[in-house]
Amino acid sequence: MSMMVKIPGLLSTVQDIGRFGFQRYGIPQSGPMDDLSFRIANLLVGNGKNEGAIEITGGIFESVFDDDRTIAICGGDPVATINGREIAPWCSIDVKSGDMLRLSGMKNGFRVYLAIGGGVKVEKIFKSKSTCLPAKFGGFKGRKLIAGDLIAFEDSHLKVKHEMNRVFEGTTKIRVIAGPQWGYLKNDGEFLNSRYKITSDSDRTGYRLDGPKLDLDRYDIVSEGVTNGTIQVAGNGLPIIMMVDHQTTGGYPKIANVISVDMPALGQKKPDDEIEFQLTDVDMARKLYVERERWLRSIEYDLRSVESKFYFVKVDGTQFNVEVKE
Amino acid sequence: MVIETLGDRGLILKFSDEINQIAHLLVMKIDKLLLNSKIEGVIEWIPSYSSITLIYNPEIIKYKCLLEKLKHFDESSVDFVVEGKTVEIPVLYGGKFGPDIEFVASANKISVENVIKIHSGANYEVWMIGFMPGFPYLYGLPPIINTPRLKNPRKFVPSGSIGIAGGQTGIYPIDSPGGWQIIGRTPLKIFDVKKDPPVLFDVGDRVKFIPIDEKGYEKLCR
Repeated sequence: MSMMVKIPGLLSTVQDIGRFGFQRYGIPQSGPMDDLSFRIANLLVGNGKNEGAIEITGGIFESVFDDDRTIAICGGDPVATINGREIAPWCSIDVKSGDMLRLSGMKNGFRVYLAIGGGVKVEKIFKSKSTCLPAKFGGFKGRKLIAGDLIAFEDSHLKVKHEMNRVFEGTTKIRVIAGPQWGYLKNDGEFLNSRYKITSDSDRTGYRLDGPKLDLDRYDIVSEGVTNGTIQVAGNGLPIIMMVDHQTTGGYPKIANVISVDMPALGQKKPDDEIEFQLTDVDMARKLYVERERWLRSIEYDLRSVESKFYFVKVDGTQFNVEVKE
Repeated sequence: MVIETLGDRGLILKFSDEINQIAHLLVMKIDKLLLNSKIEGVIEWIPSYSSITLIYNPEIIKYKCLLEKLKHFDESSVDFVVEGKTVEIPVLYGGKFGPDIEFVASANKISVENVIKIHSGANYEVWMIGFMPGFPYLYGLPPIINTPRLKNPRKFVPSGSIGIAGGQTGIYPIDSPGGWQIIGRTPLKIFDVKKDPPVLFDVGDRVKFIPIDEKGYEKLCR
């Protein structure tokens, strides 16, 4: 009913879809940096879209299972093996008790989601299993995973077999909507026609960018609430993009906001990757968002209606695999 | 009220570009209206000094529909000023818990005793919670004890520390780095993950600091 973490990699945390309704108390949303890959990983193991999974930054991770389970690894293009045998990401995989999962890097992207049938079992804090790193609560003991951690799973007897095509947009073009202080930009072309590099000083709270310094009419405003993808320009003229663990309020001009459907691609960027911004509007952003959600629901529907489901059943200590045909 | 766009799932309801009491009163009224109206698709909102940032699900409610609904919000229909609850915060001023109180005193050319008297004598209102979980931005610091931030922020400020930064005063709810002048500490747990709501106060609540001595502090810690 659990797995033992052997190598936690750069940063591995328990995340569900996020913590909502507590930002007025200064509590960040948290949740996955790439919510699309996260949700697909959960669907591939037969979970609801929002179950607790592990976000693995940088794609280095090792763990040993003590139970038979279905798992899935989604997000970018990771290199993964079980007991040394290569396995495919973006599909359901059966693991047996004693199996060792090893992720040894990324061909593309930066963040991988390890979903487990049933989901990670941790106490919900403020209605969420997500780890809030800035305030050290939620997830597994309020911290990133370390070697030796025993991660418990929720009960599950469901065994599913699904696969799908890799969903990974390596795009460098990030679409934005003009923000409340867009007008502070003395030359908006400078922002839109430049490439910005994600610096090593970037994390789940925000991406600090390096590139041409932006000339603004002023650099401080009265602090107010910000949101995921909000691009603020600090006094040094460089943009910062708010990511899932961002402070709930900010006092720098908000020149633009990344649209929802481009947040997963942004979440897959790593330090030194370059991005450029493209202006769009609210109507287009909504159209794209609604399309993506519909597509995700159609996947969910397809996966749930496949012809057979397998169940593990234990009778007098002996395990049987039962296949149910619909 | 001006409504600004913040991406495809956010709006800012703005009442002023500056910090002032009229704007904040409107923030509190609209906060109440949002709570009562329960608009479908609105996920949450963050009240601040002079604006409210509202987060919605664009699949459930379209931007234009939401704008329409919000435009019809009539703040004059909220005839309160219902005062928020008053939260008393016991504080042990000075000593090792308030390492900057002497600087605050000398910078303002008053005695330490007077800093305590003035800080604890004022009535404060929570105008915003941000920066970190449960950090209150309090309105009402008397100008005679305004003090600039530290030149070199500390790497570690213990939870419960009471600080001054310019014309603001606040309480550190969790251990963190910080650049505010620390004048005392409260034994109360401002932010508690085991409680819902997790913070002792909400935006609009009143805060009163009550000076205590070391014995009182120890007693409250038990």
